[in-house]
Amino acid sequence: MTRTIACVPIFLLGLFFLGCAGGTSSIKTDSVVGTITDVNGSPLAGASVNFSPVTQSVGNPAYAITDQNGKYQLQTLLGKPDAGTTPGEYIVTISKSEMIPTGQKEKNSDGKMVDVLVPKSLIPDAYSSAEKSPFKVTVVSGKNQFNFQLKADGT
Amino acid sequence: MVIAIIGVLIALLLPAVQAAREAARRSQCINKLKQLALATHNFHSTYNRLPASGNDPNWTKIKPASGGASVEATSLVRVHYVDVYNPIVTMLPLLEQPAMFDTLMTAAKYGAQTDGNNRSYIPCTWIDTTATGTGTDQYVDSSGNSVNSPLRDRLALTLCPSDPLSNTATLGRPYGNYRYCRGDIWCNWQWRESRGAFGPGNRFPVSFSSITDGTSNTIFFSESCVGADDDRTNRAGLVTGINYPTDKPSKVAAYRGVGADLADAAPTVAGSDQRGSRWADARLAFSGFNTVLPPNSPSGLFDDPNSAGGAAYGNYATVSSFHPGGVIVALGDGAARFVSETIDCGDLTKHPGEGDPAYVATDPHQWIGPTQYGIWGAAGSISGRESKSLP
Repeated sequence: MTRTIACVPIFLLGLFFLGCAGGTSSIKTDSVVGTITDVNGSPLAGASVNFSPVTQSVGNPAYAITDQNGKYQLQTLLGKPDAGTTPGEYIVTISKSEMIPTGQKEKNSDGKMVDVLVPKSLIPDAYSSAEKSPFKVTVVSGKNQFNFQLKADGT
Repeated sequence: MVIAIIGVLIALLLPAVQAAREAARRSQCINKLKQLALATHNFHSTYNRLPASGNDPNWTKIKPASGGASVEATSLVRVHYVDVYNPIVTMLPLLEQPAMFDTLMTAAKYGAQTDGNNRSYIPCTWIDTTATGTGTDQYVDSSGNSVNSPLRDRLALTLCPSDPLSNTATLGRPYGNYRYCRGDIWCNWQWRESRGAFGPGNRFPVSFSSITDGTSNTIFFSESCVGADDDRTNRAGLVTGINYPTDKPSKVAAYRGVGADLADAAPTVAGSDQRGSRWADARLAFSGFNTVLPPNSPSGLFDDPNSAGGAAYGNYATVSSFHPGGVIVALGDGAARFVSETIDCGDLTKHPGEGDPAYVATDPHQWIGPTQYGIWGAAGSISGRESKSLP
């Protein structure tokens, strides 16, 4: 009898762990890091970096924001943040802009008057366009590092 | 021995109790979203169209009882009142709230303009939380008295029981968790284009016949956590400083941090226009969403460069919840189901519509054709020619 009762928690413990197997299937990604320097050679902070696959079926779109030192660490929706992306050929686009007031005013959602803002790119436009961007890279298995130096003529 | 066994059994049971509680809240949430989807069917059988997300003709075409022009004709004079009423407000009689609807309708019939002291005759969707309380959330009734808008109170049918913040009474704002779908684009609430089942009523009337992807494959409503001042959690976080049209959805996605908070690089976190802080307001920050970023990602906020007067902010509004691992959505056929936060979202490094023949780089919301954003984008669009079912 005692042995039968002792079996119950063990059985329940087994039930408890049932379903723990499997979980989210994570695709293996490879780390991609690097630094972006602006046209003056200083680190570009707060820029948006996009890796778009050249061939739709090879690779996974990945993205990052640069930190204060111009460093970025790619992530995708597949794995945990900063996990990088899968091997393949990518076009890299970089954009950074700020909002500047036009001098006009408009009503906000509370009906109060606020400045009308328009975006102004802080780096040459070519870098934010997939057609014009000069940066094309190949991500391989293992660790990847790609540094990008921006130039005033967008090359 | 027996006590030890009982101890083990209780220890096993405790997490199960918590899980059971969440399961109960979740089925309550499913039920509420289902009610919203069913109400659209009742609405459709009366009006042969879906309720609009703002500028619904039922409100804007009302002529004042005393004569004069409708709100629509004078909307440049008085905006942010009946023109921002969302589908839930328009469907109130079908959601067991006929009394509130009558109050709103009586006020709307009384007048579209302001009185001599610039007070509104029409109930607004917000609560004035400033210390001085300037009374902008009150309206003038037919007897000339200042009255609180019924829309400044919370309504149980718009609250998800799993969201701890929206159900907290002390914060005072008319929070709401449930949102209408605007499709796989980013937009300002009043823009003509919508890819989803709800759009501005003066420009984008939707009936069931225009949902060519099929109502079973099209999301009508979902939910989002509400945000407190300067909320940095991913569930309610709002990334500002997103530039339309240069920035891509991936820029917002890149602010997904490790753990629950936005990554430190987030430029600013908005405080004033808190997400979900007005259940009745059609503007995207308050009660709309886009099927671009996956559930439980941050939302993005951009200043609309094309606006001319009376504009609110543009948004990548994202859905989120405290249900573990995803959100509940209500589909057009009345079914409600769970969607995982790992759902296929396609290529977020592309603008909505990039590569489409109708795509305009300077105005990337103007396009037709299949979605860029995987199954999630397909489920949000009504006529993208992709009849993909949710997994």
